[in-house]
Amino acid sequence: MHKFLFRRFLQSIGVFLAVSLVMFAMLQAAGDPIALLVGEEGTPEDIVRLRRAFGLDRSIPVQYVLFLRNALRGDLGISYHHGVPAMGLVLERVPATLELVLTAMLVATLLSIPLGVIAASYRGGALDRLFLSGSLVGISAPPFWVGIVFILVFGVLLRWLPTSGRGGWEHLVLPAGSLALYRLALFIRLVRSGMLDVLGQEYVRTARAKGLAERAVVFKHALKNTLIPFITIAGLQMGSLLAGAVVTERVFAWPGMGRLILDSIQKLDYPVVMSWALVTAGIFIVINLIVDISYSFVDPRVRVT
Amino acid sequence: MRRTMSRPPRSARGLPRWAGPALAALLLALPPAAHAAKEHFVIAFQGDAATLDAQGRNETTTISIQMHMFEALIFRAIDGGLEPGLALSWKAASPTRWLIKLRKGVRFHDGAPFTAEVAKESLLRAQGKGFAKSQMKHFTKGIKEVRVVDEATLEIDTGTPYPTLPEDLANIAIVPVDYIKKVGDAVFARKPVGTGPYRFVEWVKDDHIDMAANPAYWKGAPTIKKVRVRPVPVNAARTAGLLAGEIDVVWGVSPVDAPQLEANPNLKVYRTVTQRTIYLTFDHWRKEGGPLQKEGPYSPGLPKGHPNPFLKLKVRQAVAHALDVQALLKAVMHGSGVPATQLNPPQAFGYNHRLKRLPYDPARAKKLLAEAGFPNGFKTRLDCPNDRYINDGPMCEAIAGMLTKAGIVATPNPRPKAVFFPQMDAGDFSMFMAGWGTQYVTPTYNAVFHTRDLKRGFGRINRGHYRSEEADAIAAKASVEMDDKKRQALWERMWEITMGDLASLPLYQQEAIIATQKSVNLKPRFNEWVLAQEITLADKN
Amino acid sequence: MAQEAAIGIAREEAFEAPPARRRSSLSLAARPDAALSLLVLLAALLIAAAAPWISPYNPIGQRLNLALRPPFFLEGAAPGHLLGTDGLGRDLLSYIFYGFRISLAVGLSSVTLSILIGVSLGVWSGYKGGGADALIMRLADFQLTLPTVLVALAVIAIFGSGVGKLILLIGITHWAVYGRTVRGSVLATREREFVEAARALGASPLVLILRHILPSVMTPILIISAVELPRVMLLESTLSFLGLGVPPTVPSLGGAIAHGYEFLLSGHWWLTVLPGLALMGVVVAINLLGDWLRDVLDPRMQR
Repeated sequence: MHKFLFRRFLQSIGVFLAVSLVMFAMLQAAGDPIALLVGEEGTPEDIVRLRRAFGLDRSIPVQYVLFLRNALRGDLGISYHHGVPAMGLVLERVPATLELVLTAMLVATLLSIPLGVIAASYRGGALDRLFLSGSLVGISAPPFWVGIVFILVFGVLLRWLPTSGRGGWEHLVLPAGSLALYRLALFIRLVRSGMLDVLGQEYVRTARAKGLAERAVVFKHALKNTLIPFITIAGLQMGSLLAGAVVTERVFAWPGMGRLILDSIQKLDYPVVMSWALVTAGIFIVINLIVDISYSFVDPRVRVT
Repeated sequence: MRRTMSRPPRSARGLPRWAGPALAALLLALPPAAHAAKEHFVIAFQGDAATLDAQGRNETTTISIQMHMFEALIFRAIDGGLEPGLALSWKAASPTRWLIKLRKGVRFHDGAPFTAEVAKESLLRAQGKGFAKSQMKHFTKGIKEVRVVDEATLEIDTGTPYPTLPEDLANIAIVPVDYIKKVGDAVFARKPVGTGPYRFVEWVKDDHIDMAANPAYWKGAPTIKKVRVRPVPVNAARTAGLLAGEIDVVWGVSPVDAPQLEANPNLKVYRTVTQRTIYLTFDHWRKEGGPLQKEGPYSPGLPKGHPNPFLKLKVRQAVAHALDVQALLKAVMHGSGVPATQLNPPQAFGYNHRLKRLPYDPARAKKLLAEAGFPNGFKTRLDCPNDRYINDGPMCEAIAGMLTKAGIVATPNPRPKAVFFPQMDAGDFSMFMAGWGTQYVTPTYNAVFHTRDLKRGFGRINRGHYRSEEADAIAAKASVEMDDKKRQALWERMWEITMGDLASLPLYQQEAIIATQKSVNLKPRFNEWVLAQEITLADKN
Repeated sequence: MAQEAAIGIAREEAFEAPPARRRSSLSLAARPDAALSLLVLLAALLIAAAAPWISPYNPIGQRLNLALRPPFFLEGAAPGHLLGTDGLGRDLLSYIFYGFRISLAVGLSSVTLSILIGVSLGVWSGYKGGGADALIMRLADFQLTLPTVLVALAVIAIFGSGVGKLILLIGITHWAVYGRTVRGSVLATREREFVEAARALGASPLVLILRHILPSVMTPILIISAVELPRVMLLESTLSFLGLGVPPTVPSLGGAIAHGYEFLLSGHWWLTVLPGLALMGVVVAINLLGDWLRDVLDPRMQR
């Protein structure tokens, strides 16, 4: 296990480096942040001066090396647009995004298990069809649509919930809900199909034959075995949730990482984009690691590679 | 095999029986939570302030927010004129020496006094002394030396005659230099202290900025006591907030949404024409089409080997005749906006009221094209941003469509601004659409029309490499002419020349639309700022 | 998506089930929803192919005086424009017809590209094992980290916008899920006796593995694609929403939805809703077909 962890650690460093290099290259290719900073009405002297002030007058390889050197010291530079340390900007947004993403994850998971089980239990019945159609719509609607529909229905029409921004729990409902919708729909289908598979398995029939109560059959045996792939999926979904949060955060004006990265990419704010890339890569790597490890714990038959 | 299992007892379902009714009851019982008494007066912009350092960023939203807490020596009035701010009066004692009398008894929010010394240090900081990242530097171009005469008098030496000093001073905020020395630039950018009508309370980036009325403000405390500024990037969400009663003032209403809001009896909509002019620019220097090379001879928006039609005045005039700006505004902007004849708004100093647009006349356009040697028209690319100006993407397409109908087969090429502007700087165009947003004629000329000489700071926006020695000479004379009447005449002549040459083709001035709750009274500003201290409420509850 | 892959891997590695042949009581006749979906999909493909002939108008032709007309069932509709017009007077029906082309083209091509890359890398990774395997799997991690938005911005900067570039962009940034699945299959197969036997006999194990796994890996690939394809089509829409998608002169359903979004609150709802329904129709059809395919191809399904 230790060897495995160590190897993973080394590989993760490799990933960090690769991520930073590719991001850096792409940012350089994407345009000039200083021109954007001063706008049309700035003067050429401003540009030269600011370029020097931000260290952008050096050659690109030099810039990258400097960036790496500073990064190792924990200094990822000062945001061009905000004038404050970039890593700090990203890290202070993490709680908001995690709040959104974890809630969405929780909602999707907690609701999908019972709903998926119901659907599987009533295979072919009205409820099953309802959930299937509902989930179909859930995975087919463009995410920015869902957000605005929620805002219009629950915020403007019914006036039940606030239309945007972060605050108490009532501010969390719509954004987390709209972020969760796609995954909820997906999970319902997965749980349902997983349950259906497993319900047909030999040992389930054996258990049933042994006369165990239906409930025990359904829950204890079938569900436990559905959970194995489910954990994997859930873990991997975190990553895609982080990506989906970008649009949700924008629509709901949620002050999280996704909003920051979108703005920063559009403004070519290199230090912020690089910080964000590293933080996200880190989160991904940790998630993958947890998933791989817990996977091998839950089912010892699966070898950890 | 049909159903292998008998129906499980109800309790075997995932949810207990009472779950359904309980959920329904919960939903119905949910209070309209968003409408507990709103504490703050909420203004929603499209983006957040970039920084709260009043000298740190020259961008409309940022400055609009900062101007609640900061002030300049000279105050920019709602109609664009100049009024006393922290300065009581200003006068040119000689062509190169200005005397400025300052207001007494003003204090910063932290109690520090406003003095001539503080004013001087603020100006120097704006100039970049001790603050390399200042974005106000170009407003200090005319300042050669600042001298403190006494506690309430400042003397500014401009070296050479500089008639537009007051305009520049209106853009430089006065900052608490001692406070900055104590806490540093980075902290100042997050916890600002100024002399303005509102004090800073808190800033949660991307979420809100809270400000409270300054009871010791020299003009008297403002009526609205608590202000919250919120950035809401998606237009529809911002409008939704207004409709739901959560937002009091919405900045940047899309012209598409405006008519519906105007028809809503609970809302008010304010429109104002701004100083931002949208225009077309041409490639005035390259001879023929071809791939883009660094400082190369080819015009990338034209087919390879084809001659550059934009070199000929008649072709540029044909472009002007091919566009029906009123129809464009009606279709794309829903009537919002005003056709423009030059790159400055009518309120600007030096504006030439005698100039007229070339009228919409596609037949004449075709004739001019033929006379210029293009009887079958020609092909070109039209480059434009798609996320910088209001409806710039659709406007680009509409313009391309109109041009095509007149024989100039234009292909629209909209790109995000992060990519568009650097590529325009690199010369990757033959014709492009952009906006120019200032009412000052001197920087307009120097940046947009002056013969390009980047080392000396001229022509940065003159991407088309337009040259007119006559206009350059006139501009040089005007920038040191202290007599207002003479200066006005000189600038008018400049516009005659540049617009006659169609150095650029101005299209229209953008209109800013603000929507508010019914109880809000404000006068929309020409420079698009929204200031809570200028807002009154019809009925306070 | 990855979760489908995970199910696949879980099945392979946790439960060894013998492949079973069954009769198809899963024929299309028995599954009306799948049959309907197939029809919808065929119709979409047909529309996409025949767009130039069946569209009443040029989809990008502007008619500024006929802008923002509603569909025929609302007041103020313009004759001839069944589904209304957009802000520049372009006919929505024609735009949707052509939109099917681009959306389906982008979807199918990028998924195909992802499959090609994913299968190649997955086979290589699973077969070689060791350093190459670790590298490719970390590359997969890396690909999942990279935000499509950033890549899109850089791609547009360097290469300009366009359908081809969008296909490349999406194709290259979504191979990981296929790669992982195929790798799982290869790993599971690699240890089987017949491979050992082949190696002992001096035959090339790689060819054998390929011949063995490719048919069986088709199933998960098809199933994953049934989820990926709609996801890619929705992604195209999101990129357009952010200003990074196909240019508006290239009609696409995703682009139409994103551009029509601006008109939602002003009463011209059809501009985003109608293309949205069209896209959703195709997406739902693909998902349903995917369900049916999974049932048909699943060796353990029993009725």
